[in-house]
Amino acid sequence: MYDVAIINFEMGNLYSVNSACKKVGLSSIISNEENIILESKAIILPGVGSFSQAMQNIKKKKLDDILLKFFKTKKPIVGICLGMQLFFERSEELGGSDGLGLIEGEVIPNGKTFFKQNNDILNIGWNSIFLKKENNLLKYCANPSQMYFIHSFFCNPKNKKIITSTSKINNNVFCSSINYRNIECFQFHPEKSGIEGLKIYSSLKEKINSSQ
Amino acid sequence: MSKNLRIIPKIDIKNFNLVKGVHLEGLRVLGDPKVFIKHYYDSGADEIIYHDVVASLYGRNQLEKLVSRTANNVFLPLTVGGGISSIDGIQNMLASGADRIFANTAFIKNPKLINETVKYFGSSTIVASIETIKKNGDYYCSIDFGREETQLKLDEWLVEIQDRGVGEIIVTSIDQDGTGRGFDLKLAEKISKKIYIPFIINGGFGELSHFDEVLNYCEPSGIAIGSLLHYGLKTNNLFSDLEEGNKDFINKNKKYFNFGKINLKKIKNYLKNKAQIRMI
Repeated sequence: MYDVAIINFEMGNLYSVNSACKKVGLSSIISNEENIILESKAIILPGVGSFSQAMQNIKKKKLDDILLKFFKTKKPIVGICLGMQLFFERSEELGGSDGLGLIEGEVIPNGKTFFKQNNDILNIGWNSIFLKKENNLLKYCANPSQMYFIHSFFCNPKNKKIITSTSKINNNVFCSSINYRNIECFQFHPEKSGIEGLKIYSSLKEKINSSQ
Repeated sequence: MSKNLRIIPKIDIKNFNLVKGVHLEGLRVLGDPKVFIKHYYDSGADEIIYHDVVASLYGRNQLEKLVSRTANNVFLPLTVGGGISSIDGIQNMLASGADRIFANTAFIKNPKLINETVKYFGSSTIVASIETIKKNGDYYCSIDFGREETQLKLDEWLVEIQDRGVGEIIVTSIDQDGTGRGFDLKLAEKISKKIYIPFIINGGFGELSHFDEVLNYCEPSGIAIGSLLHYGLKTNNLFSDLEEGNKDFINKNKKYFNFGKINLKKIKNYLKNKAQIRMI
């Protein structure tokens, strides 16, 4: 049994997420097998790339059912970047496609919202995150702290109370992380955000250990 | 104030060694890249660019092992390139721990590859690199790490690669590379007028004033730095002695670089009121 199963749907920086787990002492495995995933104490849904392609891959491997089953166990689920967006109902990417739908809200483009551009615009670089809540995986991070973002879309949750931190692009505020029941998601990449980001992995370890 | 700005050490690799040249030529071996990267990670690098500088000439890339080793201990974005020319090649590099892939030669030889790779991996993963040289007042693109010049004009290529969907562009000024005389300001202005997607500028940074000088002409998303950081580290004796001689170069060119006086922390401290800079 592993502390963390990193869900492999063939998209995303699986290697670095795995390295970050190992760095803080979490035993981890990259997997798409139902037994391994459901037995793990926590799962991480990473992801880089296109929303619709990701959903296709997830459905093809029936990972959507497995994720739903895991959600019902109340064990910790972490979503990173595209892995955050996938939990929402719908994304406007490439004319629109449906997500896993566990969290109410939609995924909308940076370009139209922040740059008045119809093209996709990457928000790339280090942005401050301003913490909005206590008692979540961000609890050891400084407020504000700087994290590495690379994304052309962002999440707009219907229930603003689930937002755990916000950031700014061109002075517009957007949601940079959420906590809904046992799901915690980050638009930035904790495993690419130096020591500050690794603190999130350390709190995940603490959470796993305390729930045993 | 400028948008957020990453300060990015550029690690040029030849046969597992860190190398650095002038105008992309005369590559000198500086030492073990691990030692440099560890130091840059600890002192506030925002990203690392890894470039196998002989790969596209020999049609191979040896970076996978180095990238994996780095990704085990360095929790920063790793942008990797040199000799990558296929979907498979990109997949291998990403599986080894790279976050983003850049290419130059392969994209110029087969521009459709840009669309294919962007469609497959997403624009956030695909970066175009340009190595440009000035001829009779015009800028042209080179391939094979500056070894071969083409008739392709920079203006046209910048727009084409943007249209084909890359997420970011790295522009290297061959004329300024390794000289420590500052980035080409006309080039900076040209890029910022031609494209709206994020871009990294590379080549020539030798003193602090070069950084805010260039910010008057463009708003880059990143500044890549080679010689200024590497040679500074050398004079601080932070890495073991050179495997091959280049002390003459260091001694002769001291005036171009503030060797040992400028490091990542000083650069970021200097820039923190001029752009959005991550401080650690």
